Formats: sequence, structure tokens, C-alpha cells
Amino acid sequence: MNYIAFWKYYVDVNFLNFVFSLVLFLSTSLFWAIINFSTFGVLIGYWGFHLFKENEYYMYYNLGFTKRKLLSNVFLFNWIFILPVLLILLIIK
Amino acid sequence: MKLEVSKINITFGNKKILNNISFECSTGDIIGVFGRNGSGKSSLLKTIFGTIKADDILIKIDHKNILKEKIISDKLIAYLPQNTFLPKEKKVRDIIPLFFNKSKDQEKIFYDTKITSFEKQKIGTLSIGELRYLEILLIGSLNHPFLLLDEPFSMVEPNYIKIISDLLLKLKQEKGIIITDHYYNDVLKITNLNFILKDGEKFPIQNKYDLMKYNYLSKNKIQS
Repeated sequence: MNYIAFWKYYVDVNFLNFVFSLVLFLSTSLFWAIINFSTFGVLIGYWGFHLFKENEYYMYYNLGFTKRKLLSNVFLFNWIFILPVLLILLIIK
Repeated sequence: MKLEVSKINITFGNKKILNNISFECSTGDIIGVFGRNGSGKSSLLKTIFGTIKADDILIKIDHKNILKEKIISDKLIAYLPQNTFLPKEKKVRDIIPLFFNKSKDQEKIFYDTKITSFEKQKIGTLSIGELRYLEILLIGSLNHPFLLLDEPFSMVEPNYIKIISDLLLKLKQEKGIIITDHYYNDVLKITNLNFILKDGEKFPIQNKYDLMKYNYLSKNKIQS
């Protein structure tokens, strides 16, 4: 896998996700912000990318990424990064 | 290598866009596809690439059936869309590593004489000619054996049309190329096979007078 290209997609999709999760953190709790960041927020980010950067998908297609592969990897990496934080948070609670 | 596409049928609503279209493209070929707006040129390319669904399509590479879902993931065909696909906020020099991991591959692009002249610029500030050249050089330098180009000459300044044409003639030594564009004189200069799409059917084209025959050009509009 071309990790440099994937990382760009990951950052682009998670930018909107992060903003949305930050709003959720300020209005609810860190727990729900983290859960959102790894689930529904990814779909928000995906929708944002589709809306503002749709044509950039052709770059990823040419590099061998399908939309499904990109999105599933975003979910995967978000869970990899978030899971330890979530566990620590649950232990502290 | 040989790409065979057959039985392409595309319908949008009640309108039949492409009716049982078939053709072949081998390494060394540059195939020109002509047709009026809405004749199905872009749909044809996108269907082969796999980004729009066809009613039917059969794709073979070297006589082996290829699942259309595998075209992208197995990196068999590269595709240049009509509108730029590169992130506008990125600099040219930052785009190259997105395409090539190995420094040896990156250097081939960095040291290209044209790229050197604008490598520090952002994508959004490039002229259309520079942008199209960069895009074709990037996807043409990937290992895909076939290349689909949707209007690579459109709005491109004349000096870059020549530069892009030379690049395509170089790329065809290792790839099969299918190109669609309204700049018919520039396309006809580099293609060895051509056809026109009209009313969902495919007709062979030898020269610009054939384009007139199928009402793509009017007699008084033929460019010299």
C-alpha cells in the first residue's frame, strides 16, 4: 500500500471528522467525541471529501485504491489510534 | 499486451448511450475516440476504468477475463479525467512522492526538464498545459499497461500540446493508449487507429473527412 498517498486521504477525511468530534467534546464528553471520531464522524468526513474533493478520488484510483479500501482503512487506523485512548479513559473512570 | 473490451452497453434512463461497442488496444497503439458531446466518449472510458456501471461489459487482457472490480485494485489501467484530480493546495514537488515511493522513480519526474521549471509551484497556479503534462507524466510513469485519457488537449496552449503529444508517443512504446478529445487535428497526428461514436454505434475513422461524413465536423469548419 502507498502509505504516503493514503495518509493524505486519512488527514483530509479526518479533518472534518475532527472538527465535528471537537464540537461533540465541547458539548457532551470526551468519551462520546472519541466514539464519534471512530464511527459516525468518519462518514461525515467521507461526505465532506465527496462534496469538496470528489475529483481527487481519481488520484487514489490510479494508485490502486478503491473508495471501499480507502474508507475501511480510515476506520481501521482510527480504531488503532483510538482504542488505547479509549481503554485508558475507561480504566480511569 | 492486449486489452480487449467487448459488449459494452450503457443506458441512461431510456436513452441507449452505447450499443454493443467492442474494440482492442495493444501496447504501441494510440486509439482516438471521437464523438459529439453526449455521444458516450467519457462514459466509455469511465466504464472501462470501472467508475461508472455499464449494463454489460467484458474486459480481457491478454485473452484473460478481468473482473471490472480488479481494474483499479490490480492497477491495470490508468485514467486521466477531464478535470484535474491533483490537490490544488499542494506543491508539485509534494505531489510526486504521493505517486512514487522509491526515490529512483521520484527522480525521473523531478528531473524532467519541464517539471523542473515549475516544481516549486502549487498545483492551483499551474497553466492548463503544465497541469495536464504533469498529470499525464505521473500516471504514465506508473506501471499500468494501459492509459485512458479524457480530453488531454482541451484548453491546452499550443506549445504544450506538442509537448504532451511527444510524451504520449514516448509512452506508447510501453503502453496501449486510448484518447478522446475534440482537438481532432492533434489527436489524428498521434493515433494509429480511430473511431467515432454516433447514436451509440462505433464507426472507423481514417481522417478528418471521415469525421465530416459522420457529421462530427461541418465542411466549412475543417481546420487546416
